[in-house]
Amino acid sequence: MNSDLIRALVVLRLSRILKDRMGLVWLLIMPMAFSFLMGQLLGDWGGGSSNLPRFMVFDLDGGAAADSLLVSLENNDRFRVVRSDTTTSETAVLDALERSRITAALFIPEGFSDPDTESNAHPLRLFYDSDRLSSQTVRTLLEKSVLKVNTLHAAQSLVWRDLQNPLPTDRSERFDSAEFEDRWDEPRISVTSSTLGRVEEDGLVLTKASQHVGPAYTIFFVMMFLMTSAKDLVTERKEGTLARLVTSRASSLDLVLGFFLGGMTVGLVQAGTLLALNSLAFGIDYGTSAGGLVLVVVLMAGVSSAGAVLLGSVARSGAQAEGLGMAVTMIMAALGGLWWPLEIVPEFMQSLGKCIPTGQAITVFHDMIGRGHGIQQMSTLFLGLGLWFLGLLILASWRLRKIVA
Amino acid sequence: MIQVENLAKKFGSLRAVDGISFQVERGVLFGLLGPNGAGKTTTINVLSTLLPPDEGKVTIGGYEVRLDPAAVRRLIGIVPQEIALYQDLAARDNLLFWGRLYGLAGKDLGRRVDELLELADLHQQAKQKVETFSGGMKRRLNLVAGLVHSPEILYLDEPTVGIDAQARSRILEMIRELSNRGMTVIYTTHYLEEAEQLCDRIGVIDKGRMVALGDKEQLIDQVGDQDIIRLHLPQDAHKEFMEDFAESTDCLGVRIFRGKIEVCTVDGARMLPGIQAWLSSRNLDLQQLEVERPNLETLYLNLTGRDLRE
Ligand SMILES: Nc1ncnc2c1ncn2[C@@H]1O[C@H](COP(=O)(O)OP(=O)(O)O)[C@@H](O)[C@H]1O
Ligand SMILES: [Mg+2]
Repeated sequence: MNSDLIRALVVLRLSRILKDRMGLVWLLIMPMAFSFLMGQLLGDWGGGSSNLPRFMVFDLDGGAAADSLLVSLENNDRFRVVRSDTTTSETAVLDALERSRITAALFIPEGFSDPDTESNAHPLRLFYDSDRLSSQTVRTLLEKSVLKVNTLHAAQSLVWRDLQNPLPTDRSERFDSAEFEDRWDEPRISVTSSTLGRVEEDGLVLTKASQHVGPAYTIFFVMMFLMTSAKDLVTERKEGTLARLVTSRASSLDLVLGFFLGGMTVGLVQAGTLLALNSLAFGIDYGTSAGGLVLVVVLMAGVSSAGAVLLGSVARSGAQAEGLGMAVTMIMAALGGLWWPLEIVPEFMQSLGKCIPTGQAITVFHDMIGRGHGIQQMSTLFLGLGLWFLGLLILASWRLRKIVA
Repeated sequence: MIQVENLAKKFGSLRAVDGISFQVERGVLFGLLGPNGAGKTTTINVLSTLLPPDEGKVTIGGYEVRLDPAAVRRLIGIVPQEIALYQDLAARDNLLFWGRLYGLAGKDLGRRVDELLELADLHQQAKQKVETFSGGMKRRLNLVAGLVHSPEILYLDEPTVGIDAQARSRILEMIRELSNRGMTVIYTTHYLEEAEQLCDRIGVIDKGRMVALGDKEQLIDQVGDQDIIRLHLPQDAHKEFMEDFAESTDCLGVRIFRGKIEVCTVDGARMLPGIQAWLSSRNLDLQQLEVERPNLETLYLNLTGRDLRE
């Protein structure tokens, strides 16, 4: 294996693509236009005019402590705190939560702010949805605020004691950590949280169309670009450049890797740019798992590139490669739920969709964006994608090596 | 330098190359002459290690193609029948790429590429995309792209197809020049004049078989002192003519080829009066008559019954 030669092949591929203006249209401009148009056409899926998820607060106390807690919660850009003074039943709250009308709900009980009541007497009650990223965020932020209040309270009570007694001469003895921990064990406030208790939510968890179409068109156009470029490999076979490559210093392994990695690099550059542009233009948040995001992009580019090498090695003509590449991409897009989310098709088709790489990749995106899943929770999907990737790569290498050996 | 013994290559049931043998000494310019579909490209592909031989043995510079393709590849440069270049890249970028792939780098690479652009007389168009080039320019660049790694042996597969006479003679000059510098060259063509004009030794190949092999003079000697008389007669007179002349002492053979009678004879001048007498006795006009001295074309006709220009 000679990495210089492989690099030369990859650089050749990139520089030829960058020189081709029409290529750039298919590479970036069309996909972004599609994302924009379809994102606009399909609009919001989560309801509500504001794009921020709503966090409903029922303040039954109305005191100063409740206010200061709410102020600290309102100070965030991940969700919108909506105060509701109406008394309401827990069932109504759970129902609103279930239907994604709100992202979480908080009950501040009566007497919460009363300084004379015993510590911990009136716990806050939080209802949230453990499957939803936005809901989890609310819970995390609430817990942070509570922590802040409690720390402040514990510290204050120590200071209060100090003020009543004369100050000890040794300054280091002023802070008694054992006493602090005593206070800490009796926090001023506490939260009891209840989740909806679902194991897995099947429905669509996205709140707006661009969260689907952004990644979906990225997957689609990466695959389309690479699969139709299989015609270039046919051209190399027919027009003698492959013969020249074979008689060069490059071994058959170098050539297979050069073609495969060349395609993969194009796919990575394209996917990376499109996902970044989508995030910037339409405010898509790909969730918290950077590793998951990288992995799905790498596997997707790998699957497409290996598929393209395979197609380019077996097709009889450039036109056949291009046509087949387009057809395969279209079918995979439809079955895998790139045009419309898999969540809305019949169950049988959903299962089928999750067996093919397009379906696996877009489901990973849905899970990351809508559910905040990480690699481990999506391991089955990644396993599927990984198998496709390996299978296609082995098949493609075998076919191409038959030609270039 | 190059030894080919009983080489055969099949595609399914078609024996594209059917047991050919030849040798090329170091520094020789060897022409492989044959019509389309004769098996020239297939032969070159086997010699380039691009196709494995089905039968026979091919040794290049002492290495057998089947056993040591990598060693063979280092010795050879190939100029495929197609324009094996990236048309969307500039001439210079093409040569730089091929140079890298053949193991050159840094200053050596740049210097070599400039040399080759000079050799192809394309240094002024170095930055232009190949797709903007004329046929002749493309062919010249295609040729020098096979030379980046200064190979000892060069295979040229019909390097002048589809270009005009002037562009063609420039290519031939380049090849002559390379040969003069000591390069061993195998040159395939279906143009007889090219082989005659350019090559030291010629192999004539047809339907996968080597039908004649030698240097130009040897080949013509094979035809001996035969002449060919070709005459155009009305259809109905063909049979009678053939019957009357087949037995004549001077005649080595008569046949009908492409609507004309062809008489193969030891001495054309001696036979002509007899033919004229035969014609006038039947009140037939002599519509067309040629007498041909032997050349490679006659040889080719005799061997294969086919015209190269078909
Ligand atoms: N890859 C192939 N598969 C099947 N038949 C082939 C293949 N390559 C060449 N042939 C056939 O082999 C014969 C010789 O072809 P080729 O060597 O290209 O001839 P030439 O170069 O002399 O024109 C032709 O009949 C051609 O159709
Ligand atoms: Mg040929």
